[in-house]
Amino acid sequence: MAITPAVRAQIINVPLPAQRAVVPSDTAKTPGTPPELNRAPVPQVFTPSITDENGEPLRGVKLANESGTLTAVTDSLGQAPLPEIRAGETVVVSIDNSVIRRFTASDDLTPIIVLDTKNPAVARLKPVRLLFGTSLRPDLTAASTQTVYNSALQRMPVTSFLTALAGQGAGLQIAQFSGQPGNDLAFATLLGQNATVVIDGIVRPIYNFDLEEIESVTLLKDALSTSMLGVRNTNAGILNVTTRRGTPGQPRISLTVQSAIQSPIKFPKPLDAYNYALLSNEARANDGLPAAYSAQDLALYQNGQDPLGHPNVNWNDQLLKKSSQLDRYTFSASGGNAFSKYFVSVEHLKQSGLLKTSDINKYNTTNDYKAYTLRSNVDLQLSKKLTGGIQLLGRILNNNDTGANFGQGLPAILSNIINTPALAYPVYNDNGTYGGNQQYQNNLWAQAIGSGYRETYTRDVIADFYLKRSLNEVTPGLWVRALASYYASLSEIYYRDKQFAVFQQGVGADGQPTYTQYGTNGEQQNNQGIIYQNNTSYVEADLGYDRQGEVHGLHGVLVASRNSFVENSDLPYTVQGVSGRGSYNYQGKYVAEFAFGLNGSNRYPDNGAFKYGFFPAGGLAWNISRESFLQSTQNWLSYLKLYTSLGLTGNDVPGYFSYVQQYFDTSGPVFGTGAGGVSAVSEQVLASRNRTWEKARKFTLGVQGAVLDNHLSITFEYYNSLYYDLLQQRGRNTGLIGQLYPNENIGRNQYYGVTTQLSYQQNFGDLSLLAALNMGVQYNRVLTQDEVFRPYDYMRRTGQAVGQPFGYIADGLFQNAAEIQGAPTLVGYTPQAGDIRYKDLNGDGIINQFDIAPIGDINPSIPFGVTLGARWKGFDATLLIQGVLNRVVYLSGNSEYAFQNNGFGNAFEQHLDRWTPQNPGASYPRLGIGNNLNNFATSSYWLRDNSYARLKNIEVGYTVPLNFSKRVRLQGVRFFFNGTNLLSFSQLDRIDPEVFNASYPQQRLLNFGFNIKL
Amino acid sequence: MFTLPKKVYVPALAALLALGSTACQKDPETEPRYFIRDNLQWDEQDRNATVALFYFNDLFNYLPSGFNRLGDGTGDFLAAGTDDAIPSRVNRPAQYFTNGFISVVNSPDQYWTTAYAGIRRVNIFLANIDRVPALPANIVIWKAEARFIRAMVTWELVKRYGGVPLVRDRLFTLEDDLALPRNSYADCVSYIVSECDAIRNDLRLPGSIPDGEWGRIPRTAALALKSRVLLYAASPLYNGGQVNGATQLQGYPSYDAGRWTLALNAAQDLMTAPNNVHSLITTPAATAFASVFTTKKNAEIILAKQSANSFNLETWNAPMGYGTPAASQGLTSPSQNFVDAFPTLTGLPITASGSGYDPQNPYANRDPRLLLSVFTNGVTTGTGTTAVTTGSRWLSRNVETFDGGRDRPGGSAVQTRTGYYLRKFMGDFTNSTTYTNQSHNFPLFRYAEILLNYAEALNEVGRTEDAVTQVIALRRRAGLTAGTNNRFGIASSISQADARTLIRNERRIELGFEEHRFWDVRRWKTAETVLSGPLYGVQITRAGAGTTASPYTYAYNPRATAATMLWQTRLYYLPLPYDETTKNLNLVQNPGW
Repeated sequence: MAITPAVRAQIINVPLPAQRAVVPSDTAKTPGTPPELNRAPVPQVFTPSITDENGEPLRGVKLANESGTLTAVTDSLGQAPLPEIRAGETVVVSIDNSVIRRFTASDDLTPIIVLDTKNPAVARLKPVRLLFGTSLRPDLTAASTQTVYNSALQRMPVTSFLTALAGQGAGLQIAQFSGQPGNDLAFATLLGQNATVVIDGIVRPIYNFDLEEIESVTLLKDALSTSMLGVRNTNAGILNVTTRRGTPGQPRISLTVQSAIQSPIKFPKPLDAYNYALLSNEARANDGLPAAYSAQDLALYQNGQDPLGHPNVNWNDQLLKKSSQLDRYTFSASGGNAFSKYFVSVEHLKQSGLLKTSDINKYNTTNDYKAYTLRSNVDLQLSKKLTGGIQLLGRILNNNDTGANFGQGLPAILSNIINTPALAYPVYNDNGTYGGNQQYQNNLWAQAIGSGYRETYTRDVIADFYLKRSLNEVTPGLWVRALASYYASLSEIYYRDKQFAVFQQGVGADGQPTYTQYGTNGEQQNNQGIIYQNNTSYVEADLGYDRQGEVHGLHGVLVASRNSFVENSDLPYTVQGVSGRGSYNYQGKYVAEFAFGLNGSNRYPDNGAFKYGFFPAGGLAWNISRESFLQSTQNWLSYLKLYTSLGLTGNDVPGYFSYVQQYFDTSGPVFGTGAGGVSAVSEQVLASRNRTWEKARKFTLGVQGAVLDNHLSITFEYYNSLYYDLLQQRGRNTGLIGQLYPNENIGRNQYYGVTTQLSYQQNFGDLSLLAALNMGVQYNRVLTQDEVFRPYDYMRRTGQAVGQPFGYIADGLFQNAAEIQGAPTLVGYTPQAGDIRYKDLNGDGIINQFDIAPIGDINPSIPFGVTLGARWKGFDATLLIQGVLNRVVYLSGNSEYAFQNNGFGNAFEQHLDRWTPQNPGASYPRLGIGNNLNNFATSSYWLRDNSYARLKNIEVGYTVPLNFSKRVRLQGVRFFFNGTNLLSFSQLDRIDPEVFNASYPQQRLLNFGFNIKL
Repeated sequence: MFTLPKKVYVPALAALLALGSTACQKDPETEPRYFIRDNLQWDEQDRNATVALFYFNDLFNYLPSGFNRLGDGTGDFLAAGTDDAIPSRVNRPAQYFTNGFISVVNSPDQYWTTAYAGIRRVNIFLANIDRVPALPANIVIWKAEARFIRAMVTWELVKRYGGVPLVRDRLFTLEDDLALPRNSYADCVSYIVSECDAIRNDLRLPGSIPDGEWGRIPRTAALALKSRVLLYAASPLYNGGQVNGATQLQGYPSYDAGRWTLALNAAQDLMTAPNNVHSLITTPAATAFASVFTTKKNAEIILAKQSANSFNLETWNAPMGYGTPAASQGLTSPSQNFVDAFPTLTGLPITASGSGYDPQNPYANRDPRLLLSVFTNGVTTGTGTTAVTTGSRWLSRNVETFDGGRDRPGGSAVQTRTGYYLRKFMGDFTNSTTYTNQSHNFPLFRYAEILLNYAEALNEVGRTEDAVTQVIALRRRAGLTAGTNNRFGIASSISQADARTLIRNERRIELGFEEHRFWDVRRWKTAETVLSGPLYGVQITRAGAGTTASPYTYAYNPRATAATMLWQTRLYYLPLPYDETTKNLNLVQNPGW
């Protein structure tokens, strides 16, 4: 079969992968000018489309018949026409001479063939998104990066893309500290450093996102990929988020509807009233205090016959629903033609709260959350050489919460649930008033339903504009671009709080009930406030050059940018400067790359001057597999690249004009017989005149390869970073100076370790299997801090891990008086049996500050993630396991210690296993009231291994066969079910490894939905 | 398709970029103008010294305070760390002083950082105030008051730790070597005394301080501070009687009787100061002792920590059995030991024969200061016009601290651990239903203390009868009966030793909860006996049905142990903060810590 001239022309027009220039970012903000824009959208010949699992077209994939006589290579739309293929023939899909899969041609002229980016050959077709909206082909950069694509994020029905990233990046650690709707904040660290979020080329700290609008998140890990941001916190790793763009061709309209049941996992379990009273008496007896509950009290708590005088309230059940709901509706459309490309999406998300409500209120008191997000990305081909675009994001986030006078809504209630024993007070008295007493004047149920409500409104608007012009007339490959962006955010809160009174019911002399009042009933108070408001204006001008010849390839960009951030009433924080990157390659084999940031910020002496720093980085890469001497091994070693980089990065934390010695208002004293307050000012923290940015010197060495005929990819990286000039208060900050010390550039820490990624993908007929593993082994240690005098070496912080916990070394519990006799004990404390015994490290016979040593070895930290997936015909399934090894948790606080708060605190099920003479192997020391100096001293006793593995996500989906869905005029229908946080495995089973104590618990989500493509 | 001509859009692009980079440079300010900086703080143009006076006001925040101040949140009185009381709540830091929990890293009354912060603020003021063109006469007064605050704060350090590094007028910068050694106790005492002497004539007499400035430092405050410092310096612990291997850092190595004379003269100096406006107040007759604390400006107060009017003290410390609008927390439990220190109305100790003390009606016929200092169980006998109440009434009912009473209900609620609640400093709400705002200034110096300082020094120099005169003055004001010999229960020709005991006891009950007892028992070196052993409370059992046929009867057991006190010799000198000793190796820790 002959290749038609049209097809030949296309093949010629599309450069082979090895020679492709910088991917001109069809979907990034630098749209190319592909000639195929003018093609008719609906082909009349057999034209398969090759996309990845995210629906993004793949360019450069070779299609052929079995005999190889008919071939075509996909274009930027992922399409390759094979006009002479007949139905029933096998089509072989290959990249780089590796067969990725086969399929059988059918009557459908435009089948869509999905390849998975977990396949190394497919991954190498995807551009690496770098800073400032630029990208490079993976083999032509020496930077250390990793990309997570849309479909991997969308599997989790969560509101923050950070949460969705858990377990998906090597060296990336996502810690979630709360499951609260609208505030389920997650913190991302990359190689042990807090990660900075860049969205479409601009630093913007937005995390709650419509996940459908994210094309990819690229983790930039080394100096080479981050140094262009210069002082703008490049010490951190960067999460580079790219939003989706339109693709020319047939419009793609998608509607996704999903609904999840979310239920809190692992809330602490308080004791019932009887056990609480029993243990309370025991604790009081241990502390030499009289019993608080008589035998009769205990009986009444046990039999529940006096619910008013002897209440037994399960506050969890009283206040919280068993589950709540999360609904999400997402509509998106994308497409384009010769003139324009667009991607628009609208999302509505609704999350109902856990807090129960009451019919007595006409208003909503539960903690629910609603989000509306609108995104529009439009690119225009204004002329043959000029392109422009507008990206808009509008977002409204509405939160409702209960009033809870004495704290902030639900978080306050959750911590009160932890702190309120079951027997504290009845919910209601006989006369319908709220129960309470002198000690507990805040009836929890009244806090939930009787304290009014609060509404939070947050609005965000982002508008980005750009113009880009090719300067091919000057020299081919040259271009300029200008970009401006504005981002504004406002969060307001409306308080409609109410005070309430509680009553303690008693019996009067006449036998009638009496009610002693605590607190007062009040009218609803209306107030409004602004939680935060900020705006960022940004301008950028770029000059770029991209040219890839047969022998030499040169890609470079020079960027001038200015980012001005205004928060509340502060003066702007402005970062401006020049940055650039140049990458040269010889025959695509040898790559030399250089990047720099030369920028500074405006909060330095004097008078808010700019202070500039220079942060260069360089890297080398060697595509060994392209060497002729390795051509013979290509059948098993499909790809091999060595790369290394070294560079400087910065982190500007100038403080708010901290070089100025300020005086500021302080609480004023009172004078005069009329006791009138007067104004007072006071000197503030000492000025920090010599302050500069923190810096890091980062080295990376990596090897990336694909073996087994491009089925298994292996990436292995070593990194070693020296962070220095870290801002710390000097250790010898003696009180004699009479003022607070400023932070000074003192600290030096080293972070080093390895990260590894394995990714396997293979097709067996219609069955596609994939497996991926990522893992980091991360060490760190303190090299320098201004260490104070430590009489013993084991007390020194220098040389230990950053954040190493220190405390006494626990040595079990004292079992009897004989063991206590003569044993070293805590200064001033006379232990009793059941108290924690500590090791006397310096042998002086007492336990004191000289016996404090490192507790728990937290080096190395090992985050890992495992993804397994399969696709067969219409079915797809994935599973994600995520965890961290060698992690410790320090048990403390009101949900771990019994009878805190002078004995009024709660006690929990784990305290049933307290030490008694009959229970020598207890997991909790003998009970006591309040803060026991000995047992609650910081010590290894409370340290637990908190390594965990979590079945983070499972998704099963079914796509209705196309020929079936087309009958109802739909381009595609997919049903899916997914579950998040289904199981977790850790040694400490009773608490969630990430969210515990009185925080809003993590949610388990069971989500069902469908997606329709029109 | 439209295309712009090249000659249009290339300049347009350039213009856009230029606009972008210049538009933002029109920032209205490059540094916050609202910052108060050196030049505004010490405004060289402002004759009113407005901002400088704001700074001056802040210095008064460094005068110590004393109400419920120890520990997190609403704290406890320092007296709860002595034999006078314990905190009603368990495991409170104040009790660490008596239960032995105190250590270098766990010391409830660390004052170090606060004190040096105060000294720095004073020194900044002294170094800069002359730049401000205010009335020179005013500047002289301000500087003297600032120096008083510095002396006072330094004294608070010396009282706790002994000799401390003296900063004097130095103003440290980040570059200074701050590994300062401690000065000797003698150095510190003479520094404070010399400061008091230097400023006394610059300070205004109390009478010249207008009502609106009440709370500023009068001249007599400097004299009172000097009196207190010299009294301490003459006392057994510091005057050559050091314990536990202490050195000149903790006191004078040898005894010098002359120090008592210095203390005597200092007290006398104040009492005989020209235009002396200080005296014991005697009206209203029955409650003069109480109104000293609830009247902002009175002749007895030399200096008090000023505070806004409130009913915080009542809410914190009054008996816990009341609901809104007068709900109280009952945080302080005075001890039986303290209650027993009050004589009967005759002035005789309750153990003395003829004192008239009735163990089964223990609060009747007692020194009136008892019920003005402590809430006891209240009992009413008889009805109508013949009703007689002994013990305490509060908020229109009797205080019920018998077992099961409304103010001692048992169970887990915070309640008295001794059968008593603190009453001192509070307004009179005996017959009220709700609290109203009261003046609650913590007395730092009052005339009664000076009389007691004077009495103590007189007795030590052998003028025992003159000392007794001072005590009698206090007892007369308190409302004790004079007795036939007009000696208010004090034996004629009392020995020096007995007078010492008498004066010390009088100091305990007159100045209770005013942060004297804690330090007095240390300087007297009596702490090892009085701060050791049981701390008693009363256990009151009520019987009867409350009817005419079977009226309530109360049985008192005043020997119910509420806590056991442990004394350690090293507690005579409090520990320097451990942190500070690791940051500055020249700081020598006190003995035993």
